[in-house]
Amino acid sequence: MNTADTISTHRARPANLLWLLALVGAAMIPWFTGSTFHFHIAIMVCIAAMATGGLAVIAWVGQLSLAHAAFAGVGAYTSVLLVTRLDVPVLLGLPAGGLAAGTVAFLIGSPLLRLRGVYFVLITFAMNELFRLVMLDIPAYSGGSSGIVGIPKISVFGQTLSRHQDVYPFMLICLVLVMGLLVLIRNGQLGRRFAAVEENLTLAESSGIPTARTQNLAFTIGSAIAGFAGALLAHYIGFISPETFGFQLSVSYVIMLVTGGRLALWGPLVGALFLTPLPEFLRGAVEYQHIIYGVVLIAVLRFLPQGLAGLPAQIARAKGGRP
Amino acid sequence: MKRNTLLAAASTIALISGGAMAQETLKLGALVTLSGAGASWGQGMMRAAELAAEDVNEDGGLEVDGTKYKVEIIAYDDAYKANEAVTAANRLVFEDEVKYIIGTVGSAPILAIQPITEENGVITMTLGFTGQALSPEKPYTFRPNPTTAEVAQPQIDWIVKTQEVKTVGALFPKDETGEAIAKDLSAAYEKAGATLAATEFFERDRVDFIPLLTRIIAQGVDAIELDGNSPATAGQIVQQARDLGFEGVILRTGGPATQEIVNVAGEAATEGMFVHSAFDPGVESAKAYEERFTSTYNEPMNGFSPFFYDGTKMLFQAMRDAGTVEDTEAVKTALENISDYQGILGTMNWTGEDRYGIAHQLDSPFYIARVEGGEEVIVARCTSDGCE
Repeated sequence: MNTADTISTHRARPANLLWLLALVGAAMIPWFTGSTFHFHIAIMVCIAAMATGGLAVIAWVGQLSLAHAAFAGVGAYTSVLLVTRLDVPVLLGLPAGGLAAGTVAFLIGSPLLRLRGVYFVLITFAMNELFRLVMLDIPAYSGGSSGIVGIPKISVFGQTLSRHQDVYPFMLICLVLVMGLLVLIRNGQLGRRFAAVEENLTLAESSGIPTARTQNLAFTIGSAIAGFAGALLAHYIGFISPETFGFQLSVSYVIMLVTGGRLALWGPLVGALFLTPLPEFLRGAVEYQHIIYGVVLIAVLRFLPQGLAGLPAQIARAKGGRP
Repeated sequence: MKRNTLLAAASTIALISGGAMAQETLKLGALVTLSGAGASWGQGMMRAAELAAEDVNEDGGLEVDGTKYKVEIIAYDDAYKANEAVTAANRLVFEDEVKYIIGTVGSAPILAIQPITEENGVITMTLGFTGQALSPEKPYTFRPNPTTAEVAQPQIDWIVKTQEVKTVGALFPKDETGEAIAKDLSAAYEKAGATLAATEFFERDRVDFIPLLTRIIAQGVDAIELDGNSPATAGQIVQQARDLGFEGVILRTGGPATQEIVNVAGEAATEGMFVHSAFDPGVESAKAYEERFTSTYNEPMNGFSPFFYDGTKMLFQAMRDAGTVEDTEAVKTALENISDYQGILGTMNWTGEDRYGIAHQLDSPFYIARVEGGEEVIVARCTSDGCE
């Protein structure tokens, strides 16, 4: 399965429409139930989907970043420090967070992206740890291991979004913007360049595609989205510390991406929608939660190699296969 | 599973014998760490709340203003992470609609959930050692266990005086917590008339302390301080220090961890070590609690558990005094007004006005013990005023 396949088949259009309807339906759930807790889960889904969306862009050029949490952290700290120290409005702090993460990614991207496969994964893992340790070492800015508390809530034009019900529409708009960006990239010339690089690097290079620049661009865009999502997380939760953006968060984004579908456009969204609420169903089963979580993950990866987003296509194929 | 069966049996019996008085349910959240590092603390807290609930449920429920409430504990795991704790707190406060939370274990989680709990008037009882957890702006947060800030000075005064310690060496984890404890202890030794002469910092997962200890011992220190290190790390330090031939005093002025240290370092290396203890097995009620805990759960009791048993009991008392379970402001005030509470660990009072600006820190007796044959033997009894 390659990227070009997923977008250009004739079946893709109605399937996409179906996905869209299902996702809109899912997005409405909190308003139907009216539960504040459901609003909280929905907000966490939005943030996770955005961050995973960023990781998907990097995956589209065939790389897997384990430093994604660190970039979310760069974005979060940039926005929080701008807002708390320099009195910048949150609405400007959020994109500034994305910009800072993107800049860092751009600068370190060109040397790092010379590495491929497992070596790139390892170096990004090391970068994530480096970020955490450096932040722990500069408590004047990072708050050290006790973190920064009392981060201002998101406010839009002087209106502070203090209730979950008010934050959710804002998060939905951000998610739509990020997903819109992903659709634009995917369906444009850039998306085809990404797909070519992912499919066969040497061939892409010989066809005149600047592969190094293309990969760095994907890394920059993906990490900038992570920074933006990290900034949203910081202002919503109201607390950050270097430990928040540890290696485990990176891994959880990878799991969401793979479960949702690594190369599918809607993969990040589906992965976040499935995996963010999942621990909630298990939270009561204190002793067994991790085992059940693991079994569910293994089942998804074993039976749905293209991720959950590949499920409709798989069903269609199974139906078509029948006499 | 077994517990579920028990619960089902208990509720069936309650249903059958359910008499004239209509019974309501009072839900108590336990937002603690149940997986990963810190799980033993979390379990100690959750089980303390369960045992306290069992006590009142045995009498047919907690009687408040003529209504009997069956106490139910809803436990969620935060895995010692701030984000997880926020999600669990949202669920407890908005979905389960609890008004009281036992937790959290960690400092970061309590700071992260306070915006939710304080704004919604939810009373929390945290273990978190951070000084920021208690403040006048956070009137609904209480801490039933003493922290290093409360216990270090009196113990250090006593050790310096009786053991004639002049210079002390110490190893701390290289993070904010370690650095903060190093600063506090340095000041405390200074005040007691000794100096924290040699300090070394290391990454938390380090296991080889020989180079660091060699440097410290070479400076001729009289004692090595273990406060700030996790139980397993402290055990390794003790063992390696004795292996290097260190014959001075080894002491730990904070955090119950003796059993774990003895397990790691062995009886010979830990002989004569001075440790902080919150638990006097000579006090009958404390011993009875420990036996009840181990026989119910078939696991050794964590040293923090009794504090949360007493804390939960005090919370029940406050509800009775206030005559309400709904109005947490009244319950909070009633809880603040409890004085000379006779808990299983001794007489409890609220303190902390000077240090935190609000008297929400429980002051309970504590002890200095000497390790003999792998067991704690109490050598001095302390309050925050001093040890003797």
